[in-house]
This record gives sequence, structure tokens and C-alpha cells, in this order.
Amino acid sequence: MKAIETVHLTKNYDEILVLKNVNLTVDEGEIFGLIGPNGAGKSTLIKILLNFIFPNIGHCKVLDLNCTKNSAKIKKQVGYVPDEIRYYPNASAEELLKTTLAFHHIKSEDAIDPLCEALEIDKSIKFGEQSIGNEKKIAIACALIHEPRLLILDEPMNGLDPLMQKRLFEVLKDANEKGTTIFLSSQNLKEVQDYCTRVAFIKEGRIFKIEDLTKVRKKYMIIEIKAESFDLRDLEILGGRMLNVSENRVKFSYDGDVEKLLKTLSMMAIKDITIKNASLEDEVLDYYEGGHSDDALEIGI
Amino acid sequence: MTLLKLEFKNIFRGLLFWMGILIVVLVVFMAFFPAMESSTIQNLVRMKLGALPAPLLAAFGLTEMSDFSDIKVYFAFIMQFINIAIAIYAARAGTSALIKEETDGTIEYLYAQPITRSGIVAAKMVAHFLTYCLLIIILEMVSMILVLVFSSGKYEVIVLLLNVKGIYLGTFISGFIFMILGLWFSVKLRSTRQIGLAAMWMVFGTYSIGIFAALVDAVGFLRYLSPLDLFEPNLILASGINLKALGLWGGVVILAIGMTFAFYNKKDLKV
Repeated sequence: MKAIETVHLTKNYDEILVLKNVNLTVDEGEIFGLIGPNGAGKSTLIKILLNFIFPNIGHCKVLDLNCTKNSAKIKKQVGYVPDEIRYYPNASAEELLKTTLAFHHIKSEDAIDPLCEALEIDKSIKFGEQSIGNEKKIAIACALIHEPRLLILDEPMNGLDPLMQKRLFEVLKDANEKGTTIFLSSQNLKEVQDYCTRVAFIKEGRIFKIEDLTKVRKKYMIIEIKAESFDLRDLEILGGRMLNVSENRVKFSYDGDVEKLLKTLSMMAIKDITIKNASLEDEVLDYYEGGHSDDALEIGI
Repeated sequence: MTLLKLEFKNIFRGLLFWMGILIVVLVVFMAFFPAMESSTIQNLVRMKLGALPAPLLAAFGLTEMSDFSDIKVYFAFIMQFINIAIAIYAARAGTSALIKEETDGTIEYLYAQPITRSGIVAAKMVAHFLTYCLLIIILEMVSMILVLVFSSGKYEVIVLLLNVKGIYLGTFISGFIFMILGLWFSVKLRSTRQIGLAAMWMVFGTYSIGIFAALVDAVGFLRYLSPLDLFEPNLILASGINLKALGLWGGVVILAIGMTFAFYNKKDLKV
């Protein structure tokens, strides 16, 4: 069964298009990351999945149920952690967890203590008096307490120290191993790449790349040279793909023979050169910085 | 049921605040009653009332012959102001009911739970209605005690109590109308910052229309736009509940409830 399925999902606010024709499928059992900068449309997509807002065009399903028509049924099986946590300030963590259990008609409160211990939550302190990191932990506990089939987390790492980030991922991994599908958004691929099975990259409301992180990626290099003059055709014949070209500077990707590359470069009057193996992060950053067209991301696949 | 409990918890403090204030105001107003019984004050009041034009007095439910030494008349007079305060409370309660969760951001917790949007509207409506009923019942009881204490045994107890009950029925109806109109506004507002303004406009806007209608005969029918005027204490004392007005506003209330559900089910929540 698909945990999440979106078809031609489009959302605009007045004139501003925030989500453009998003087609995405997340299988049950995955840890799926949605990666993109601020304002890329990550939260909008999540809010549509949870029926906080409605799409203008397209539709989506969560756990095979229509997001618009079956929202309450979906939420019986979904846990959600918002980006900015603003829960009831006068309620303690324990009250919030008990209320969440009550909403799910779960009478046993046995799950509260172990979860609070695992996430190091002081359950007696009022939510409004917690630090940002602790607020996030409480939200995560509320999302996990009813053992959801799908967990949706919007920027879960925000406000957490590296130690807590690691702890959180252990908790998420644990939940995933028990069968919970995890869908999370992040601005930073490095934060999540060790844990996700697949990631989708989103920019300006459009998903431009979906990467399977379980498969071995084809290695390639990013080369940046500074020279008084160079002939781009030489580099193109060699198989280089231009990423950024200015008057006396060129940045390109290359996945061919290293000897041939060095031979070509040796014929140029190079002043400075940087060669590095490209990571998926570099690939995405190149895309963001370069303002490429959608097909520019074919490199490295 | 969980949402209902949560909502009670969230609005109870506000209810206690308003209840406290209104009880103090009632006690202070009623404390002036013994002074009204003196002939000097009665003459002074008659002189002042006599100086005002009859339509203006009528707009405030008075005549130049209004006898404030009669506790029923005096109580009905002060209840006009209490009614306005209760209408503001009810309008604010209704107006804040839905938008507050969105502005405070708590809707992201609430609507992540397995409940429908209609369930949210219904629970909030019921919670606010029940707390409103509690407010009216407590104030009514306090008023009955105050009226009995200050009447010094000069009136028949049952008549006094029935008068207070009748006046509070009008209070309840006009406040309820404002609460439901507020609830409908709540779907449309953009932020809690607009709550106070919306509630004031609703209450004083319709009240002003009522006064204008009382002053200008040609537009007398506009009175029907003002719940505070239609269910005004003096009118209720004189002729009971205006059933035509009740029917008219009953229809408006049903329409507003229907529209609240319909709009809330279709709106993009502000998160």
C-alpha cells in the first residue's frame, strides 16, 4: 500500500503559486525525506496531506484514503509534528499526552512514561514554560504515543541540539522498524541522508528530483577552474557538464576518465583549480545556486 | 467529548473573569436602589427625564414617568447595561471560538487529532453555549437574591422572581444571537486581533441602529435588526417576549450556524 500519493497537486494563494503539479509516492515502511529551502513548498504539501488547506488542482491520498474526504480517518493512523510547535501553553506534557490518547480513544496510559524517558521529557512542566527543544520533543511524543502507521514531521531537527537529533533519529528508526512509515521535511540533506531511504528535492513548489539513497550513486567530480582563457568546447567534448560559467571561471561536473581530464586541463593556462567528489548535497546546492532548468539535475543519477 | 473538555478548560478562566465583573457591577448598581426610593432623588430623576425628548427616552426603554423607586423598573433599567455587557461577552466568545486556535497555532495540535472540522465547530459551539448558560444562570440567581434583598419585603416574591426570570430570558436570547453571529464571524476573521473590534461593531452597531429606529418613526422597522432592543428588559416586563422577533432571529441563527459549518469545512486553516 502507498503511504502517500499525490497527483498533480497544485496550490496557489491569490497570484502566488506555492505548489506546482506535485506527483509523489511514498511506500509504506519508507523513511522519506522532503528536502528544500525555506519557502520551497514543503510545509504547504504537508498541510494539504493533513487537510489544513485544500489544493486548487489535483488530489492526494494518505494510507489509501482521500485527504480531503477522510481526514479524520487518516488522522487515526497518522502522527504529526509541526515545524513551529504552538500547543496549549497551560497544559503540561503529561496532560497533552493524555489528551492525545483520549482523542484516539486509547484508555491505557502505559505508553506515556517510557516515551517521556526515551525523549527525556519532564512531563510535569507546562508546555508554555518548556524550551524550544523540549517543545519539539513533546510534539514528537504526542505524534508517536498512539503508534501511528505514518508519521509526518515538518522540519523535526529545528531547535534540537546534535545529541538530541541523534536521539530523535534513534526513536524514529525504532518506530520505523516497528512498521511506521516516516515522512519528514528538512532544509538540510546532510541532517537526514543517513536515515532516509528516499528523498525528494523541492524548489519553488516543484519537485525536481527524487533520489533513492539505498542505491549506490554513480560517482562524479565537480571541477572548478580559474584560467585566463579556456575553450568550453574542449571541456564539452570531454563530457563535462557546465554548471556555472563566467568570464575566467568555469564550474563543471565530470564522470569520465581522469587521465583524459588531466590531459585536457594541462593544455589550459590554469591559475587555480579545485577538484572534489560530488555528494548529493553538492548536486542540490549546485542546482539551487545555479538557477538551472529542471533537466540540469540529470547529472549523477 | 475530549475536545469539549479541552474547550471548557480553555474558556473557563475567561468566564470566571466576566462573571466576577458582572456580579460586582450588579451589586454596585443595586446598592444605589435604596437612594432611588427617597423623594428628593425621585424628583431629580423625573426632572432630568422630563428634560429629554420622549423618542430619546423611548430609545432607552424609558418614559418621563419611569418610577425608579419601583424595584422592577429600576432592575429592568440597570439590566439594559448588563445586557450590553453580556452581549459583548457572548459576541467575543463566539468570535474567538474558531479563530483563536488558528492565531495561537494550537489548531496544528487539534486538527492533527482524529476529529472532523464539523466536530471542532460543534464542540466549540456546545462548550461556549454551556458556559454561556452557566453565566446567565449564575447572574440570574445573583440578581434574584439582590432584588429580594433590596425589595425589603415590599413586593410579592413570586412576582419579583418571575420578572427577573423574564428579563433574563431576553438577556439570554439577545446574547445567544450575538454568540452565534460571532461564531460565523470567527470563520471569516484573519486574526484574534480583530475579535474585540468585530464584537464591538456587532453589539454597538446593531444597538445604534435600534436607537436610530426608535428616534425616527419612518425607519422604525429597523428595530428588528437590533436584538438588544427587541429583547429589551422594559419591553419584556410590559409585554413579554416578542415572538415575531424571536422567529425572525431564530431563522437568522439557524442560517448562521449552517453557514459556519459550511464555511469552516471549506476554508484553508491559517497555519
